[in-house]
Amino acid sequence: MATPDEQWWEAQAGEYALGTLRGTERDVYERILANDADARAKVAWWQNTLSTLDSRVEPVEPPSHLLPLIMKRIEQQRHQSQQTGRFSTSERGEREAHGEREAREAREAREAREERGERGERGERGERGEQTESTNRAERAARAELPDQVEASDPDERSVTLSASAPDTAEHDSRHTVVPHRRRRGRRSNLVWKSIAGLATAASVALAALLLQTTNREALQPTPAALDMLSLVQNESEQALWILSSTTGSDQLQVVALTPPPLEENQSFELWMVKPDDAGVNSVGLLPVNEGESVVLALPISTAEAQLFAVSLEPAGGSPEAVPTGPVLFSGTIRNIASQRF
Amino acid sequence: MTHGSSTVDAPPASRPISTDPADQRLDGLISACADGIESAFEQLYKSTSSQLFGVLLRILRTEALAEEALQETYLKIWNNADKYKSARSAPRTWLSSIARNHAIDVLRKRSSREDIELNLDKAAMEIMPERERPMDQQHESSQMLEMCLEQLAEPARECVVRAYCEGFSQEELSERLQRPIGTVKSWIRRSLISLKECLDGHA
Repeated sequence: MATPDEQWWEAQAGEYALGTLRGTERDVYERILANDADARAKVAWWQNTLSTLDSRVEPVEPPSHLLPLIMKRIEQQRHQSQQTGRFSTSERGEREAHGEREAREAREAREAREERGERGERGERGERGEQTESTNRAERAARAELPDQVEASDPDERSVTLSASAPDTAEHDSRHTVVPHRRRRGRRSNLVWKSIAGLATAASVALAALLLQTTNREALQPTPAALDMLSLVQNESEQALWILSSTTGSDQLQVVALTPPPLEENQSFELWMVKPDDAGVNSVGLLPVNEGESVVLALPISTAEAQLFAVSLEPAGGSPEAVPTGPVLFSGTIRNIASQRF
Repeated sequence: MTHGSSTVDAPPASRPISTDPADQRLDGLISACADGIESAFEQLYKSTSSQLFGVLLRILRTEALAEEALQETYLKIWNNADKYKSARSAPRTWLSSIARNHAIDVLRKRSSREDIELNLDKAAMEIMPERERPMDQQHESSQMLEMCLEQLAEPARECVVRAYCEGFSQEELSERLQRPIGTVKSWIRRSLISLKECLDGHA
């Protein structure tokens, strides 16, 4: 049996979730919640418990004009935040091109050292700054990962292939996830490699922010998250096409089509897992092609064993071979959230 | 902050990790919102807005207030997506909590719900349909809650359910049930303690 004191706190959390804690009492309790993990956990328990009563509330379709209004307000917010001095990725890139890179790296290294000691205390105030630092780090990492010869040599000499074996490991840096091989001119479009190189950068940058947010969250509240892997498949303009996610202990991949590109009837988009060190690819399955559609696919290998998701354009039903037969158009970096948390 | 006996270790997350594809889908969409992906937000809205609008309408009682509240709720969802902790609450619970908290704020800003039609029909709770529950796990926890609710004495049970589903304050319940506010408060708090003990006992 709980003590009267414990019961009081339990009832307070329950009343908060129930909605009967009002006025000053609610204000005070919210201030407690902001500082007390135990109280937050109690409220979470009540919210989860009472949420089964939501099944008694009939869903009602809201008027269709509301979503455009909300999107407009989000756009306004974004515009305002850009005006208040947040650098976009491209702005950072321009600044870097003007010779600020070395100074920034030195500053980041110093900040990273400080950050390790301070993260637990900084809380939300530090989030935005940390996110920017992380994005910069990701940019740098992505650049480091790109093979030098891509920019240095004639692109017509290059093409990309995702091979089931590792035939040519001596020619390139082993960190590369999708590696250009010297092949006969015109065998495959050089555009494919160009776009995937760009995508690798874009995906790394875009996902870095999320990683950092996750890291921050965990620093504040070290509980295991259900979601342990997230990947955004993007196109060259960094538009998210599909979201891929999986949860701890699951061999299932949840796929949601956000803005899938148009497709001919006799074609399919096939998803692949690309192993590091050019160790081959595994087919995951066909991607949904209607906006909002979601499917669950079985992961052929663990996400920890792969380094990248790639999407190829294939005949309807998928590649007739164990490797892509059509062009590799899009990719998504794998973020193993659980493994990076600790 | 000291209270209770467990100030060091927070209790474990109450809900086991969900393997429900619908929850996983929402997890992914909310996480993508945290990354600023607007198309993910649109999908999240399309998947969940009818549930949240239902909750808001039920509590706020007028379309205009609920529509305004829905906009504010989704802006909060967008702006707070990076704070979503999937282990702490299932995605629908997290979304619904934001809507509920906002609705309560809206009610607080109004001195009363006199402009809102309050119809405390005694039969209302009984005729409220129970919708399909996609997960066995959810169904199980729902049955458990129903069972524990059944063990509460009637006026107290009604207070708890109506406070949650319809946003009634203690003052409103006191007025409608013609009982002192202290009595209503006591009913609710004792009911919550009983529910906790009942659910812990069957965990």
